[in-house]
Amino acid sequence: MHATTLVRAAARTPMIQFIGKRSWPTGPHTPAPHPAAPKEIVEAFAAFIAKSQAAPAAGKAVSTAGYIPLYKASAKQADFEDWEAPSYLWQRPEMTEREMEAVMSGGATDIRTGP
Amino acid sequence: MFARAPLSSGLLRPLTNPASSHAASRGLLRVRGLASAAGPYDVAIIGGGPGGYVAAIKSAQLGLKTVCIEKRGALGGTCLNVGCIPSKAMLNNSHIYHTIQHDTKNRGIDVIDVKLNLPAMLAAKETSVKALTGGIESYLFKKYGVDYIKGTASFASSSQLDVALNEGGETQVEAKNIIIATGSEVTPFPGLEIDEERIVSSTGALSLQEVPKRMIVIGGGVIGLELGSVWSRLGADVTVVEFQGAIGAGMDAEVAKNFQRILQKQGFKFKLNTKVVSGERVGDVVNLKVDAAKGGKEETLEADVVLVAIGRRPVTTGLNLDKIGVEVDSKGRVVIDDEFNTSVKGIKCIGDATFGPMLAHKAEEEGIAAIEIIKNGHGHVNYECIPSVVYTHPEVAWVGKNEEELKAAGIKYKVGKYPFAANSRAKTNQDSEGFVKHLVEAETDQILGTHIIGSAAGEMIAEATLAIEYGASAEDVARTCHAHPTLSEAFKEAALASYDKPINF
Repeated sequence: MHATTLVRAAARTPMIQFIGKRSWPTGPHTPAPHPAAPKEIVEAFAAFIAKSQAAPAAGKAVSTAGYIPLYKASAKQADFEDWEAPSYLWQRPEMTEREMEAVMSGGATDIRTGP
Repeated sequence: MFARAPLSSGLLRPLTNPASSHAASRGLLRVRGLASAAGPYDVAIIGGGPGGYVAAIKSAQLGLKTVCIEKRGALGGTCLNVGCIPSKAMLNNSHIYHTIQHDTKNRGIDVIDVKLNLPAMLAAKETSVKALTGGIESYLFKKYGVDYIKGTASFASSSQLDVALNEGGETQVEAKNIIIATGSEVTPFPGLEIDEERIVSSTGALSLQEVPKRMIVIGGGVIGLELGSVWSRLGADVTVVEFQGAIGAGMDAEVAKNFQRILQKQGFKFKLNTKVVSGERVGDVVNLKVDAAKGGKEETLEADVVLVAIGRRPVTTGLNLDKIGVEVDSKGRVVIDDEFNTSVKGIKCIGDATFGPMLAHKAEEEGIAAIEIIKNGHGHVNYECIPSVVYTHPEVAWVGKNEEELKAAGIKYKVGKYPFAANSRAKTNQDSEGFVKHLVEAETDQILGTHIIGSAAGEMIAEATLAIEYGASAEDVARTCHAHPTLSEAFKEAALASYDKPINF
């Protein structure tokens, strides 16, 4: 059994490469034209970016004065790990029959009564 | 493992919107939230179609305070309400009717007194639509804590939306990020006014109250062929008028040719290279003047119903895009970069309203990616690997490059083809029309495109999509064990045929 496996493995290497779980890139993204954009849009992309960068950010325009944040992060709190939290925060609650039925039907069975 | 914040007292404070009560009871969603209950939304999404509602759910799942604004009054967009879903209900049920009428005798089943109950068939379609659209609102949005506003949104500024509520009155929504996901609408045919009775769009073609004796479909694309199939199976005499020389835009030419041949056997008539010059409704009849696309003899076609299916156009009017400086191109599509950013910071656009194929699953992928970019800075959509499916019988499905594209790009390729006529399961099903065709790079054996015509093509294309996404070779697929007897063995044999010989053919 082992010999067969070894012979087969030696004979062929699949092209599919399993690289494990993905991690997000850490560097900043350089804007580029959309892959499906037509040629004229790609050619005018520099002007598009210039216009975009000249505009104020929508997020920054929003005033947050008077808002009460739900949570303020601190260095100490950031060390808090999932497993230290009460189990109901990281463990999925047990599924009820009704929820399972709703999942299996794509929510269709829950229309009349709501969740 | 992610570092996670402990509970704060604010976490358990009642939320302002009852729609979010489920999220509050779960506790988790608020921990990662960036906005407070009383503050602006992290994400506002205009449009609750496949792009918009999926983005909204993903956004809420990632802890962002989210609102989705939809003017239709029901979520799911064109796809769920008047597109993919109702058409599949009609395709499936008309196929069953047609099979009982024409095919069960060969299978040893005698069925007598078969009658079409069209009102009941239309009602079954409506039941499916209501179940699915209602499920998003009453289940998924509540489950994940997405706020939902039924109304028409327009930009007041780059971070504020005016919303005219469907029930009357107005409200304003403020958000740090706004996603335009307004979708598309039927492209009208110049000079042919759609009344949704005799001259219909895809919407009207899904609700005809009687089977037309004669139906003309303008446009031999996916929508026209699917809806033409529905009414052909129910008894209509269907003629497809297509400006181009082939049906199935984007389809591999060989597949398109075979597909046309199969549809002709089913009773379809095709007028290719033909343009519609004008048309008018006279009582219950529609007269269409057509002539050869390159100039030729004019003729008049008569029909009880004309389906206009020449394509779709983005919905971007009424949003006040010009007021805030969001650029659109000559076709009305919102101009975006590779991270869905428009020309105004904080405003993104996804789905049919911007570049790329107008497909629900493409919009869904973009919705997920756009939210991941907002939350994490990175997202992923592979535009080289978006499958297309025509849900006729047999189905047609493809992903990746077709032969014409590879030739144009100068890429050397090999073809691996396997007919369903040589597949045991297709034979036992007495349903063996079509084939699987892989296009693989000559040097590396990597699969570049897969084209399938066959009864389960729409399901089988998922294997090809995965193979292309993973960069698999034909040999990778051919050496993967496929269950016997299944139609998917044809997929494996076609892969084998591209670099060696198939076993059963």
